[in-house]
Amino acid sequence: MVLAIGAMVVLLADLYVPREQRGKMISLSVGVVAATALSVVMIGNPDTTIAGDLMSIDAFGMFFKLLFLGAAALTLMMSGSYLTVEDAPAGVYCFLVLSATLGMMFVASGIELITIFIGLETMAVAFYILAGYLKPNPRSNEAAVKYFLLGAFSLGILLYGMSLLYGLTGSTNLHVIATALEGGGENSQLLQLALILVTAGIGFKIAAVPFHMWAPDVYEGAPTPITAFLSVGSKAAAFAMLLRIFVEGLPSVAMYWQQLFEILAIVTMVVGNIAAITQNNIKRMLAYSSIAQAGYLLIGVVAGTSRGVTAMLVYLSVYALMQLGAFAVIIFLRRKDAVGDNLHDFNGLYFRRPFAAIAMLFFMLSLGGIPPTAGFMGKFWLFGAAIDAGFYRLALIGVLNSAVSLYYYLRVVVYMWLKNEPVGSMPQATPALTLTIAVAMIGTLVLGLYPGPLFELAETSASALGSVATSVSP
Amino acid sequence: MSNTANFPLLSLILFTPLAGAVLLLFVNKHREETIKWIANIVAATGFLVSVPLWFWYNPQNPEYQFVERIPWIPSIGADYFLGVDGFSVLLLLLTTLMGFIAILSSWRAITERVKEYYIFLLVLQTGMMGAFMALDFLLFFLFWEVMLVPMYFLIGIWGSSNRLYSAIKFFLYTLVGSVVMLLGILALYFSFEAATGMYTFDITRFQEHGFPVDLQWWVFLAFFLGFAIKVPMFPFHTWLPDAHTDAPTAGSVILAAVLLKMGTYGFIRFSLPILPEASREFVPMLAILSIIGVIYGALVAMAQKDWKRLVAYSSVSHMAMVMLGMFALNPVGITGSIVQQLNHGISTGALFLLVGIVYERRHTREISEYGGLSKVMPVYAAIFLVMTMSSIGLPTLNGFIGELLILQGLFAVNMLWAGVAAAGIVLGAAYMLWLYQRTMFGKIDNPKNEGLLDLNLREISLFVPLLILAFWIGLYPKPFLCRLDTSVSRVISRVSPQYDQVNLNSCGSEGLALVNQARESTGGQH
Repeated sequence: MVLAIGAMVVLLADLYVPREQRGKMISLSVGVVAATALSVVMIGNPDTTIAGDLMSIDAFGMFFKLLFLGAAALTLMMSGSYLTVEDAPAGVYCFLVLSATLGMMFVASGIELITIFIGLETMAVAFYILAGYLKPNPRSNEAAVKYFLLGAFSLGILLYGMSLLYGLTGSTNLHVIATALEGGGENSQLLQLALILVTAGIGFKIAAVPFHMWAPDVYEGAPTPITAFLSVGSKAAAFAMLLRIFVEGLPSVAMYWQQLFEILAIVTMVVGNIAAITQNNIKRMLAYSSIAQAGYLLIGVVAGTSRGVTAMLVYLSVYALMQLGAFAVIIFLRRKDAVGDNLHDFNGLYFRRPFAAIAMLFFMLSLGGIPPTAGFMGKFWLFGAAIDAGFYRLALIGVLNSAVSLYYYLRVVVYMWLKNEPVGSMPQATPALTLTIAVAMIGTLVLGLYPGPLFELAETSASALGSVATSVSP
Repeated sequence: MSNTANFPLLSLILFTPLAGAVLLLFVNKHREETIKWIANIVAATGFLVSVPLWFWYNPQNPEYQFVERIPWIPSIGADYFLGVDGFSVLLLLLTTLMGFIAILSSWRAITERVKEYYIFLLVLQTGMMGAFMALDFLLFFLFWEVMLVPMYFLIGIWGSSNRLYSAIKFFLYTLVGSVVMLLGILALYFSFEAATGMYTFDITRFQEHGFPVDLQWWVFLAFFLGFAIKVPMFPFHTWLPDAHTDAPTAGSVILAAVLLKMGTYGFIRFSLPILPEASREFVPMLAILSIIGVIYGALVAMAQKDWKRLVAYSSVSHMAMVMLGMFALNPVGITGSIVQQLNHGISTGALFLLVGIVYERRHTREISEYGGLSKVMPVYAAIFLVMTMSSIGLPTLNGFIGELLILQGLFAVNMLWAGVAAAGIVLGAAYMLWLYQRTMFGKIDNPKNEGLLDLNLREISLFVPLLILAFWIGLYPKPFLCRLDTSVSRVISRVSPQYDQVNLNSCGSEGLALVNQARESTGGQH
């Protein structure tokens, strides 16, 4: 595939491009991403399987691929100035971002446990290295080690769960598994164990409570663009995997995993939001907030209906925009003399850089789910799916949590608007970074006011997901 | 449903302030005079373009008028769907008028961050009007929430001492209510689909559909939380005194005159006609909470040392009276409730302006700091007197009409409630007159008050329209009552069908004939 070749080209080019010309490497990589996106769209949606039933080319996969590529492009665009400030080389960095993206794309279109696992592993390995990319920075090193150890452990658990599934059904193909389990509940204890193990493995990747311990440390320590990409790309990939495995592969045992995910969703939302309230480091705050966001997304899984999946796809795209945008603003604040990730670094930002402050305001409101931003539309439909499927309690806990979350999102706004003792020098933006923030902000606003097309696209993609809605009922 | 204007009048009214806000974005923030002029002209234009609603609205036509409808999110059945009836026309006119007055009143009061201030006020204006116009539930909710952010900033940036606390308290309180209300909206949406196979957020359809009673019960509670916090009803009122006290004058004026009406508007537009069975079931609970609100608000107001806080608590009491009239669930009570909403907007808005004016001169709101002001500020004292009388319901002024209708409505339902409400009115007279006495009469014993300037021309012009309205509604309410007929009968036909025969023909009869007519037809039923 184009991306794999492109990544190789980037790696080779790295040998010849001098360290100072990071811009070239990044433009090259963005070009590769764009070319891949183009080819994904050109291949379109034939709804077939390739590579001996290892992967399915369907609308669902396509939706996620475009999402990953978009996220990768925005991440690369915001990386340029960050790498310059940190004085880190760009070549390997770009290569790793591209290979992580490649892994994600495998995950999204895999209909075979093996493909999914390999994709996940590809992505994970790239992220382990990227988290520790700032060699002189001890926090970055700590992040990498922590992420690697816990990540490897969770992948082991996931693999164990998958092997149990294979043992129970005799296949690693999700459609075969689905058919084999239709008979019902023989060996149900073993099956439940398998479900729990797989859930734990995925729970780690989406940072659901109680598998979230790594997230705040890693988010804080990793290079900021990588934190952004991790919280968006890796999370979206894990959700793609979750939907593929559970909704497409295990619909007949939905009553087991729906309960499991309902509890997981509630705990994740509550813990994430409460922990976020007390954070003073904005990267940590966004880490906890993204834990809470995973909780909202799980509501869609619990609903398990086509509407739930649609809502998740909408929300994931929206989440990608607002989360990447927020991190882009944090990168904007990273200067030689200021780390830019403490709340105090936002002091009086509105007076110095009104554009960045307004953009951040929209990202915060969107994360909190206040119209007219896209975050509202996504959340609204997630709760709608829950109500539709009869999970009233879950919806109620969800909306109350989103009200609580406004408290800490507004704190950032308070610092930007109401405190006026600026820290450090005047932040300067490169054109690429400005463009990233602008794209994210306009996207957040436009999708909030006119989300129709996104809803339709998500609906088509959701209906492509195997047996959704037809056999799953609450 | 029709649009007799044949052109998008409502959209024009709705987006005029927003367009002004966008225009202001491009003005250099140091050119404060220009900014003020633009904001004032935009607000005046906003009022002027809304005036045709008064003349073009046809009170005989029972349908929503000036309707505009464009698909918005077709895949889930949400439309950009606007339309008004008499009730929303009056509230819209109140909004545009108070919006203009609020902006004009800020000319001197706001000296820092002038540009953002006016932008937030104008955006707020669009949000409020959108909520009154929307006939699509999702669109309504969008505008409903959009209001929060500018108000949060208005309190948080330009407020007084405790502003951050008050701003976040206002925001979170209202937000909790509205997200729960959102769940109620979604529940109605899916239930409507299950019954008819059609995905829509169309309020006019919901108003004609009979939802299952047990669903109504839950949805009523969800809506109740959203609206009751906004009204605010006891015991959800605790955000209001803080928000009012710390908000800048214009913020308080808008908050009292328009924002609180969102809650009562919600009850009349959504809860009563969409959930009629549940509304009837909840009458005792709402009546008791409202009665507590009337008395409690008045008593607490009496104990206040802070002028603005006193007016804020009087709001709690007055709005509880509005709720009480509404939940009499008869035509007179609901008409009175609506009229009283307008009255409250006029008189409380004016009272907050009056507090703001002395605050601007003295920078204190302690009642004990004042006294004898009528000697140095005679015009001020005269206007304050009229507004005090309007607030306590003196005949010939607007408050009297509203309170009379509410009491008539209540009397037909439950003598006890009517008695308690009347007691609340007496208490209201007590704290307002006492306030007047302490601030205006007597000797000037505080030397700081000796040099106070009376109102200037700009300040007087703020009150002229409010004074005219107060006398107009007080002396000749027919044009207002007449415009409410169809709105009230739409609600009544759903929630109290036994009154359906009552012919609400206040356009054809003289003023208060409505009251007599309704008294005849309701007297024997309870």
